[in-house]
Amino acid sequence: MATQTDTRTQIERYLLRLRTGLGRMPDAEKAEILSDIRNHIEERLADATTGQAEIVAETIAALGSPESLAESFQRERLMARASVSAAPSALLHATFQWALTGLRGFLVFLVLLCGYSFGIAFLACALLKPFFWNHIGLWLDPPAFSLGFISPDWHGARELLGWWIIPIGYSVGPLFLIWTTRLVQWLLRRRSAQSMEAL
Amino acid sequence: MANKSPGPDNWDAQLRKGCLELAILASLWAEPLYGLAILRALVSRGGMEVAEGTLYPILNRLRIDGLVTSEWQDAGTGHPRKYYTLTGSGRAKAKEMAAAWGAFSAQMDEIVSAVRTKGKHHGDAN
Repeated sequence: MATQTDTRTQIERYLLRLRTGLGRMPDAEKAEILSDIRNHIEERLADATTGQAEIVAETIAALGSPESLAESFQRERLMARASVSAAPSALLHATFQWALTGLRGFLVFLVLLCGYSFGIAFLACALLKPFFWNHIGLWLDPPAFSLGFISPDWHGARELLGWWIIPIGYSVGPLFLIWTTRLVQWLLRRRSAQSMEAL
Repeated sequence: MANKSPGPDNWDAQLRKGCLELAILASLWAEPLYGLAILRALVSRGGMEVAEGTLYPILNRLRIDGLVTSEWQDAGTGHPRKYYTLTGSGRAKAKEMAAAWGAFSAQMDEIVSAVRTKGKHHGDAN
């Protein structure tokens, strides 16, 4: 009986360390992963022909340390979807996860946010110019530039593009969105490839 | 002290790693399987030994990518099992990867045939 309790404790301890290693992953996904691994160990135990303690030790050894297993889960997640998908939500999610791991990830996340913001701002300006022609544009208020809506009370700024903001916004906006997406996809793929090499 | 070249072993590991996703998707082609059954299917069908700690992170990624879904089923074993099933896009992806693999392996066969032939001649007494 004592051995069975020890075995259970060993499994729980392994799963607890794995849970810690999974870090800031969404709780639902963590639960999914933990249930996968628990189920795997249970499956091995159900098949056991030798003692339970040996099987658990063997299975845990085959799975690797909880920390390295957690790292494999993290690494594979980074390769998921965003590395092939251009969906903004997938890219935002993947780069946000990357940002949590260090400065480089944070910079990529920032590039994505800025790129998307510029793209959306140009498109919004092009779209809204006909309705708020007096307030929308690319403004110069030395030494600063600003793109977008300016309050009628603010007289210090000079509008630079006039109606040209419409064709420029419709062409530059999508370019920003496309090139930001491609750049971030490339960076994510590169990171995945480096991770694979490190395996 | 073992004078074993690490090159080919490492290459072999990288090659297997690269093919693992396709192997896992292919193992689920005929029927849904649970984790341990996938490992066994890979061994029994192709002699491919996959580390247990390698399988689950890949399955998790395939699940995030929407290529597989998982579902708990009571298999009558006293505990439920989580079965993985290919989704529609998983099937499409498996087909696409299998076709790419077919083309690639045919090209490689062609390329390495000279090495194989040469090796055989070299070893033969004839």
